[in-house]
Amino acid sequence: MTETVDNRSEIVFVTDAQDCNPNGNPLGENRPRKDPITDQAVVTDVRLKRYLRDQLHADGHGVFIKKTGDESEVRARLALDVLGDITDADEVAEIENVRDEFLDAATDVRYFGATLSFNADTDNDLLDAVADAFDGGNYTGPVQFSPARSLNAVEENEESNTLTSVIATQDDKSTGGFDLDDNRLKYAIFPFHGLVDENGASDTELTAADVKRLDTLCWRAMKNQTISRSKVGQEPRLYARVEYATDGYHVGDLHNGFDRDPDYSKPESELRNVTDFTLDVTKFVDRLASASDHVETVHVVGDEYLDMSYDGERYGTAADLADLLESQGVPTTTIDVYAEFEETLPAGE
Amino acid sequence: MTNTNVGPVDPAPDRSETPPTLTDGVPDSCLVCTVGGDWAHFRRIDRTVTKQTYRLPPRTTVAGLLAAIVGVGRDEYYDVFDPAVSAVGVEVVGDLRTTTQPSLGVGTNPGETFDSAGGSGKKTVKVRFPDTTDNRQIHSYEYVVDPAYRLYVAVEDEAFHAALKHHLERGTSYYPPSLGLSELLARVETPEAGVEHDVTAVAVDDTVAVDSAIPEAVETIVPRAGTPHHVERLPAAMEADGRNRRTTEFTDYAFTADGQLETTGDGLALGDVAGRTVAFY
Repeated sequence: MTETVDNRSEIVFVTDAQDCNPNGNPLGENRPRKDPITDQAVVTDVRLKRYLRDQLHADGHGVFIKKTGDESEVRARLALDVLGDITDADEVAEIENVRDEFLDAATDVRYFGATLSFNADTDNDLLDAVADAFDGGNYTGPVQFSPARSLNAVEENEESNTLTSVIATQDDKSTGGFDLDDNRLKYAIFPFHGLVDENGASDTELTAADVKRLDTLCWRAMKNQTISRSKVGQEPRLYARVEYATDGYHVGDLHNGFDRDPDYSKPESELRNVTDFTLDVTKFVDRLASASDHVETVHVVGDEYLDMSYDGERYGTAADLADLLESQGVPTTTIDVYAEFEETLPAGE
Repeated sequence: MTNTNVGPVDPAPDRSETPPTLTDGVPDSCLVCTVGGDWAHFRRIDRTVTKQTYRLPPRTTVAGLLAAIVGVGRDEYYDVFDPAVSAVGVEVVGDLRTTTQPSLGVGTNPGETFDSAGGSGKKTVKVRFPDTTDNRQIHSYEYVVDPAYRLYVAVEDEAFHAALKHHLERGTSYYPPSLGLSELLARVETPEAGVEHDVTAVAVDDTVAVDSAIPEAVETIVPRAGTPHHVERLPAAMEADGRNRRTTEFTDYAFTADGQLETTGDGLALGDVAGRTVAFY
């Protein structure tokens, strides 16, 4: 198996949502999640990871945490099935092979972790050996994304809150439903914050290639997997993975380096579209510049529709962030998503 | 095995540090840092379906967070944080507001939504895992919004003390710290005046105003008109229990986001840290 990743990375991933419901609240009529005090919209880490898993699946990688109702073949399970043939704790090497095959097949477990449970008999050497080989079955994901709160207070589209479906909702009914909830946000822009833990990486065998894959995966997932009725309208706007050179170092809270620039943006209540918004990246760039001794490279891709400002002045679009970082002495490389992603697909398929 | 005690406890092996010494629960020095983030979830152990949160991180959670920074594996740090040889003060510096966000998770009820692979389980290995194609379960998580806590930490263990001080001074961590759940990433800040501070024991004549949360609160808190305070019973110490761990001690903490609380000081280990009065536990 390939070596696990060496360097810590901190990720910020800015996405937006226009006239859609980026993350419904199942205990609130599936209305978009909001902080009731600040009216900021919320998208959970669980929702983001679902897009990433779906893109991994679409790319042909094995995924352990599948979509509800997905009956496709489970490669991860096939690896685990072999455990039943192992009857002796001395076969530890074989147990570890099963574990390696499992982690090799379950790409999402290498990123985000998982929970398995083995029959619980602590007096049994075989079960102890299995539990040890699998780290007790609890894999903490070395890649973590926090839930995101929007940079703006949001409003819902009042006019779209009912929907008449022409498709029957139950097998034995021929007419569609009506008065279905359909609650959408007018506009919201979200800075996700993520981290790649290079020390936790050894638990799940997360490789440098896996981390490199995130640079194209996040972008493509937000483009390709936001295709259902309520999810259309989301776009990736800015992705930066700060790869650190110093062991154990990360700036932390990089997502708080982004603000709505009130001088170049419409008021919050009038935001309807990405062109109404200008992202102030001053704090983000300055913090990285002050920590540039610790930075190996910032891997960046930005969108040409999102305007950007730095130090009170307009500075092109998010696509120009790499230039801006370089000009402040921060080593940067630009990600070419569609030229690079094919290298990250499963080998030989 | 990678997840137990993998980290070098001391990232600078030549470094010699004098750890603090405790007298009646008050250390002669302590390390100071502030941990904060967008959200925190310190799950109340007496709730099940709704995952409610404590507003103050339990002492056991603080210990785990610091152990992550140092790189000590799960189950490897409980002795270091035994209340007899360690002291922790917690001061609220962020908000205590909470919000609830439900989430749809894969089922965790083995009787309903688990799948299995492997053998019969009698003489062979049977592994069980969530059937991820089945319907999801709704769990409501309560989060503290914009939490931040200043921590005052003293451990007599020399290696842990030296490693923690080293990491805090460099702004590094072995495992990235988080606030209760692994996805709730934390930031760690240290005072400009340095991370290590002398502590002077505070004697109490009548009552005293305390800046930190107050343990053993029910007996010692002096309520004051106009100053709201919360009281929560929190896990305070734990020990390894096979592959799990169990709480061995609880205590009631009083705390507020609105400044100082007044206390009689009875039985408390009070120390002055750079002009702030801290109740250690």
